[in-house]
Amino acid sequence: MNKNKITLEQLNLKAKYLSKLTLRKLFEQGEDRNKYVIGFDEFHLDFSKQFIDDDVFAGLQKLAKECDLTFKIKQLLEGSVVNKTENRPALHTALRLPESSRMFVGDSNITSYVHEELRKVEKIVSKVQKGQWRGFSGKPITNIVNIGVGGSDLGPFMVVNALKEYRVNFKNKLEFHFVSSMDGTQLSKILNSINQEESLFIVSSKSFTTIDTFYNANTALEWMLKACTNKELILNQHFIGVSANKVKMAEWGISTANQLMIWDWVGGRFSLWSAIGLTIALSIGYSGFKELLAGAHSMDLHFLNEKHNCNLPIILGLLGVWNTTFMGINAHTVLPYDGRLQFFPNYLTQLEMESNGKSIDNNGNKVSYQTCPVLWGDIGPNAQHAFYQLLHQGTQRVSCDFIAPIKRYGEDKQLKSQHELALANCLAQSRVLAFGNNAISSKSDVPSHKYYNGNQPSSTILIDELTPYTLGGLIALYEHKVFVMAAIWDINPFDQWGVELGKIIANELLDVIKVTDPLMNSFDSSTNSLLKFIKDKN
Amino acid sequence: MNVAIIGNTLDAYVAAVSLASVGNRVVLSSGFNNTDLIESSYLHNEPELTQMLDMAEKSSNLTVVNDQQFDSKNFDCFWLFYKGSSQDQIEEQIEKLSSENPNSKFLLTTTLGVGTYEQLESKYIDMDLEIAVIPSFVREGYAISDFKKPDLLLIGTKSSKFIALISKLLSEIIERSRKVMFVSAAEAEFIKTSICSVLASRLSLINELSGLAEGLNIDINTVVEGMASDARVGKYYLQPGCGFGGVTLSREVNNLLKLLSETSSSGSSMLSAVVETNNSQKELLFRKFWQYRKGKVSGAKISIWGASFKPNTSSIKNSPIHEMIEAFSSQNCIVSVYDPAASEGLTSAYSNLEQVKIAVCKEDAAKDADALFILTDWDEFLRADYFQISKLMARPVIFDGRNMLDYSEMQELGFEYFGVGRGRPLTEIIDG
Repeated sequence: MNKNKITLEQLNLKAKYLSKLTLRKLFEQGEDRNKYVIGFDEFHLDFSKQFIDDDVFAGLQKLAKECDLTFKIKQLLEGSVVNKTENRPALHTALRLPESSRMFVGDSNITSYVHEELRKVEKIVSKVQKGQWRGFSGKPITNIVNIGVGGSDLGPFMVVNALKEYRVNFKNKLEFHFVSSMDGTQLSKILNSINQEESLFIVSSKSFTTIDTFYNANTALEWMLKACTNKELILNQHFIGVSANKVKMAEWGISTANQLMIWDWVGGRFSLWSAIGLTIALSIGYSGFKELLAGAHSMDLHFLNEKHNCNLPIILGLLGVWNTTFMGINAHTVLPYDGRLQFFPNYLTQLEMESNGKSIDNNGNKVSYQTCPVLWGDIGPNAQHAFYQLLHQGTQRVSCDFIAPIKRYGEDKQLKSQHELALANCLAQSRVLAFGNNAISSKSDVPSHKYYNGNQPSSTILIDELTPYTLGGLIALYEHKVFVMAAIWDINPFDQWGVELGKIIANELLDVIKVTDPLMNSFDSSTNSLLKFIKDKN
Repeated sequence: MNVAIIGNTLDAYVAAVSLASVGNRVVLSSGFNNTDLIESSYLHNEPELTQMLDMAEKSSNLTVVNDQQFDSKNFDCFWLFYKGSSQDQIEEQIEKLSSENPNSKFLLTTTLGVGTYEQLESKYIDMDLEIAVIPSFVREGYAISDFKKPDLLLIGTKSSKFIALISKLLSEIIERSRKVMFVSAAEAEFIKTSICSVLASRLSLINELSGLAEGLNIDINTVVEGMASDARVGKYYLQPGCGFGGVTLSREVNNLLKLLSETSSSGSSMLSAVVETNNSQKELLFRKFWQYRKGKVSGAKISIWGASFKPNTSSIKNSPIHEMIEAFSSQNCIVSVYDPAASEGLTSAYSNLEQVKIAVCKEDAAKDADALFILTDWDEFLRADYFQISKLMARPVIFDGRNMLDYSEMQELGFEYFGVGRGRPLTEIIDG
């Protein structure tokens, strides 16, 4: 992680010392903990309820310096080859650059490619918006079905759900559907509820070879051909492809006009800003999509230019490293107090765990420290009735991110009061998690089963209002947080070799499940026995 | 009696000349500056009206003035005719007239729909005025007889004094009317709107049936003939076509839809479907062409005959022409439109669209076209020389949105003919 052992030792010592203290003690030591509050744009980050003091805060910044964080950020944003195992840059930030900017990969100014694809997105959105994208029978499209998995699903799905209030009133009211799972559960349900004449499938896959997506896309195509056997017409009017692989798109049958490009230098989980976000643009309109990009771009500039001690992504990233590597807290939960962000924690599970769930450093050596914690989350108020029990009285140390917008519901008093209730709960929970029973003034003794230990550290992110712009900023904030952690841990956040082997083995097993030949005992005894059980039943 | 008629609609003219012809002293004032000006085609279509207008003016029972010339003193009542969607304009008139004439009586014939009277009454509850509602059932082309001998005359007021006044004013009409109903103003509004809803529903239903008939290779015109002979069904508003337009029907149905969504949380499932079916029907012919060309329509030359929402009017309000032009131009087609009366309206609506041309005659529109679309059943289109037209076109293909042409005759002339609910089903083409 860091060649300078002194900084690490100092931080380790500090962690040992602070572990014996309580958060209450830190707050009672007389220092002004409001210094651990920073703001940028419409974001307000309070990390005063973390186990830190001035020494830790300074130590973490020293660590960042010794890990060349500033240089690494610059490398990321300038398009250096930061993804070493795949020998390519990770230029998701280039996807939200204004058209006038220039960004080179090799000899090519990729900003012009990016905006060329954005214009195609805009054109498609406009045609669908006006009710002029026609299905095979000439009827306008009313159902958008996004077929994709992982980064081609989680990002668009999360954003489309979070920004429902910003849906554009199209001439024909659009319904959005998402299909990811290979088992067909989602797809069969959707195909039973929509009609062929008015459905448009967006097939997104960076490689255009993802087996999950192909099984779903093939089923969708067969279903379409049941309504109209003219395959050329069906492919022209009902299937759009988004991929980095033109050849594969064409091979499958996506017509040239319906091919939208992404590029090798965009990771799937960082790709919602590209044509992968077509579903988002169809939902909130092209101008709403541009707002999302603008919000993210603004966070990029903050990340690049702001000093470390008031740089939101850097602080979130350093706190993540602090909690995991030094404080030994290996679980992290994200708790939005706003139902619109229901799928944000789920989105982050991929972003953080697929990026930083690594144990080999950039030099190919096994790391000797803890990296990415287990991450999960849910809408805070619902989680209060589910897993908060563990947070408050369990044996696991868990760090938390509370997220809430301040303004919501305009003039609707009744709903506004519900939002106020949620905000009150958000603040109450972070208090109880930090201070336990000491959060209440009553001094009376409580029985042990009613005792709250507290000392679970948390950060609170408040946003003025949830809009396409601020959501763009929020997502970019976490993307960069992930990068900061990876930079300190000296791991590559942009590859995902850990998901490959399972695919190969699944292919072998699929052959065995499909053939009627007697079973050869070619796997381990457990797998052999499971296969036998399945085949005996079929 | 002395009556002031205010409005610039066909109904206002008809009421003015009819009342003047039976000895009332009538002043007709244009009023409502912002409403549609009366169209000269109204007078062409109502020969009796022109004649009566001359006679009434000669007899000096009728004076036609403009808004500025109008002197509101000494009238027994004011009859306001308004064809628009702004209640403010009605209120402005009522307030102006009643401030000049305390104790005024107003008859209202408007397209504002259910709830208008109630709103006006509550607004003017403290003012010294009375309001009655008399809905219009006047059809273009039959205006005088519809007014003088209506099937139904609705007199909407509960004031017995006002009823007496109206009865005296309309005594000849009451005598000739097949049915007169003295109802409340709100009931009068409701009856009128309900009639329109039924008519609109019939049109959307027959259009839905025509889609089914086409799929089964059945001629919907034959079906309609059979249906119409059943007295319970009757023949009116049963012609399939490419959607209804105009002001009255569309507005009344929308008024009712709005009212339903305001007063019931579940809104209307039935009327919404009627409107949705009609909206979809307006681009039916585009979809047929799309299917005919298997989706390959880009660059096609399209000829459209008829743009007004019905024959004998220049109004293109809510006409299917708008949906058709939008659909074709979005697919990069070149459109040439001809309408005997609507050129002016078309020019002001579409002169900015490069791929739309307003043609000077049928032949001009049809030249080099890949298909001809008929949207309005003007008589002129019945009399066209289709042999010559077929020679002018690049491909002799007709999409007849009003089922006005003879299917087999067109085929004999070498046309491929597609109607609404008749002609060759397109499903077999598209799959091929």
